Amino acid sequence: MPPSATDRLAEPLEARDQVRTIARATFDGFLQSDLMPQGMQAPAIIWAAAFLVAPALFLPAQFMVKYPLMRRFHPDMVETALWDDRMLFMLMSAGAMGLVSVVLWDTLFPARRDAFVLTPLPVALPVQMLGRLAGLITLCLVFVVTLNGVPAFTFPVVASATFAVMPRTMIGHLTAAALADVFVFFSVTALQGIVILGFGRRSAARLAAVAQTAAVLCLVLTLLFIGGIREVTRDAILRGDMADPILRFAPIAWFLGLYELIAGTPRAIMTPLAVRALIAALAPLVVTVAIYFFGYQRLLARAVETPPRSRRSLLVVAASRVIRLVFVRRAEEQAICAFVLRAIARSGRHSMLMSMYLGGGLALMITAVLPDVIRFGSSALGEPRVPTLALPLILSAALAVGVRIIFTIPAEMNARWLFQTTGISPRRADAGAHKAMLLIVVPPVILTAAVSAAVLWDRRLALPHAAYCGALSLVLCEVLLARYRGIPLTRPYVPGGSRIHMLWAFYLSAFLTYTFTATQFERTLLHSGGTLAVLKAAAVFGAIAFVIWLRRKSKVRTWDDVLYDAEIPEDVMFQGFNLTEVYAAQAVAHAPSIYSGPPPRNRPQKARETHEAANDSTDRSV
Amino acid sequence: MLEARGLTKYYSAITGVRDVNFRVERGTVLGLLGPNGSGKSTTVGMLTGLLEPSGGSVTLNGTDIRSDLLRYKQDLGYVPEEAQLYTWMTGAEYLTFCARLRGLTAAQTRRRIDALLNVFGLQTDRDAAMSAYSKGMRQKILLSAALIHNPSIVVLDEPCSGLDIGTTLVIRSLIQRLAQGGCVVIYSSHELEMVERVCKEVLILREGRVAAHATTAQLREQVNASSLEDAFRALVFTTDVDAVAGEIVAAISH
Repeated sequence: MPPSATDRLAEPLEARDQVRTIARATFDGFLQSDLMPQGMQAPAIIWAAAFLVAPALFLPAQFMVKYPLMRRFHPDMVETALWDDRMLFMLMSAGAMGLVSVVLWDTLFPARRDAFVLTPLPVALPVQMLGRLAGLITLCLVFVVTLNGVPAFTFPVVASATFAVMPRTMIGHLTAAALADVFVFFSVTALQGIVILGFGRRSAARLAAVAQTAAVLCLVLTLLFIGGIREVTRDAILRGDMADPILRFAPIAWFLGLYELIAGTPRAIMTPLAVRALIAALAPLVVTVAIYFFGYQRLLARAVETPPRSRRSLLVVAASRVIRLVFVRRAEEQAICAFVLRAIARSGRHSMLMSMYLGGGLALMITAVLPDVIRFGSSALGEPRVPTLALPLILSAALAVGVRIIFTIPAEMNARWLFQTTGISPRRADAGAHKAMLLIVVPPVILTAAVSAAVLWDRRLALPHAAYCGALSLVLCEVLLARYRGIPLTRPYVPGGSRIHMLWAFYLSAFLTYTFTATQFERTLLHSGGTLAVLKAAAVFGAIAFVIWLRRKSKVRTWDDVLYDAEIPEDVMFQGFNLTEVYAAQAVAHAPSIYSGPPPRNRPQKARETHEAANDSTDRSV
Repeated sequence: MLEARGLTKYYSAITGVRDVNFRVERGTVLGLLGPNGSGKSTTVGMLTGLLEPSGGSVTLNGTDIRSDLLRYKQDLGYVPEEAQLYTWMTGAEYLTFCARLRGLTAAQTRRRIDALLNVFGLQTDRDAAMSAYSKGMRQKILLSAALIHNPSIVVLDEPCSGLDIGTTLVIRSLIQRLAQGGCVVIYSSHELEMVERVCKEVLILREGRVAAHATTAQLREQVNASSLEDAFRALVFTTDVDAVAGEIVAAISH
């Protein structure tokens, strides 16, 4: 007799086990980044954890001397010094949490894949919802503990006057910093959930780029102006007036109030601040939970529904036609340019990276002009000073470096067979990559320079300033592309190629020279030779860019084929003995679907063996 | 004429394919058959230039394709086994992208994309992102991309996967038309009935080696089989399928 249906089925999991299983899978999914090949997640997490925890380890060590000395010689300053340092810890922690939440933006709510995987399973909708929500909360908790576990213990130990106050201070530190993190994390989830439910996934995806840019902007500005933020908050608390805009609107003041209240402050102003902190932390959490509870079914429906068709605006159509007619005339180059532009606009990982570089650039631009604006008011912008003149160049540095990095991050590696079977020549591939970079970098720079000069100073300055900045950004693009080979986004990503840990001082000097020294030079030219001198300088820089381009063009002629393999810089990957790079090299070498061509010649034996091993793993999968 | 001479591919110590020889004349459809792991995809990879042979060569009209791989690829249309696409593009954008990579003019691109999307019934979805496409729609896009530049060599690896019956019949007729037009068509598939209907010659691979290479009629005669399926069973698949099915049922019953 054949077994019945009930005989065949094992006992179904209890709802609690199902929630636990889904929560675990959801949590694992957050840590599986598609930014890097399979197997590279572990070193990336080690990197991230080390980066986030490092300040918490060295700051308390520094404070071991600071607080005993201060208590002995300046006891009146201890309280405000404690506020400053507590705010520092909370700002760093919340900033890191903000970055984490926008990086994970796409995974915070159920996506199409989740809907297809979970919906056919015999799992009740509330169970699915609770599992996903539990995964989200676990993720938040893990980061809260990672970011604050060590400093919540070490900082009170080194900063407290007596052993008796340490436990309260520790609880205060952990609670306030954790709630600040909760506030940041769940504000992002609440915002995203509302947008998805209200406007759909496409709007949420579009908002992601803005949110990521804004998050990086806020984070960099916070880091750069951390001293100023602490100063104004401290002064506002000392004034003790709850009507003060800083106390009413600055979350850091609220969470400091909570910290102080738990740690046992005698100041009455801390109580209303603490109440605000609690409300601020709980409100987005409640909104997120409510979105999950009441909107989960709709979230799933949104995930599987067909997104509305994309429509290009007339302006975009006209601009692309002009570009095709004037600048990118060959069909193959047009294809590569369109591919790069669309990837940056639509591929989650690429748009996120571009948003980050753009956010960083905008933050540096604000940082450049803000001190002058604070010092001199609006008159600081009234004449062409170095910080204002440097704005387009800072933007060009951010865009050019961002695009150059993005070129090395593959988009859908498995789909690159198309390029490999098309027979595109190296010259066309190189020209396509070149033009794509110039298209992304140069027009915004020229526009920013022309508009800022025309609006702030004199319309006659617009042309020379735009020409000068445009020519310099051309030079920058040529320099950045000097060693680039292949079609953008089609080669495996090999971390460590920039050797930033070795060359950071060089990069910093190059950035300062490119932005501020070049601007100082422009200003000197403006004062001594007028606009004509600036135009002549622009012509010289343009000529330099042209010469670099010509040299590159002659080099490209010697290339036989378009390169699709990774070029592992063996001195970095195998002789540097940087732990994460060794991990990364191993991961790249063993990642499937990465290498497909012949092993490169003239490479040390060890690197060649690794490459061959990678080739084997790929070929076997084919 | 496309010819494989002693085509061999090793993956370290593992042999992918060894000493594969065949010749396909213009106007001929060659069916590539074999069980999983027999070396079909490796052979296709070498024919399309995706893989470099460890030994032997692929020649087109007597010239090794590797001596001018770019020129060879410009004449090649390829439908891969898996629908790997840039899914953040729309169908029309992807086809435009392929056409431009192939150097087609804007007017040609527009005309051919409109025609292909119309034929495949994708006109209404042309501006939707391919991430929202069904498997069949993606396969149609792959087919359109492979044919948009009017290639003279067409390599199709499971082209009918996910397609409805109507479209499959269209593809069958299309392959025959392409061959009549002078194309070299290599058709890799597990669908024996389809292979029998469209292919003049069949190459059967088994464990990386050529198990048989003949016309379908000759194959049937060789093993005294009434159909290609029976011939294939006799030549390659010696397992008792009923016994295996019985074992599966037994395994899930306990």
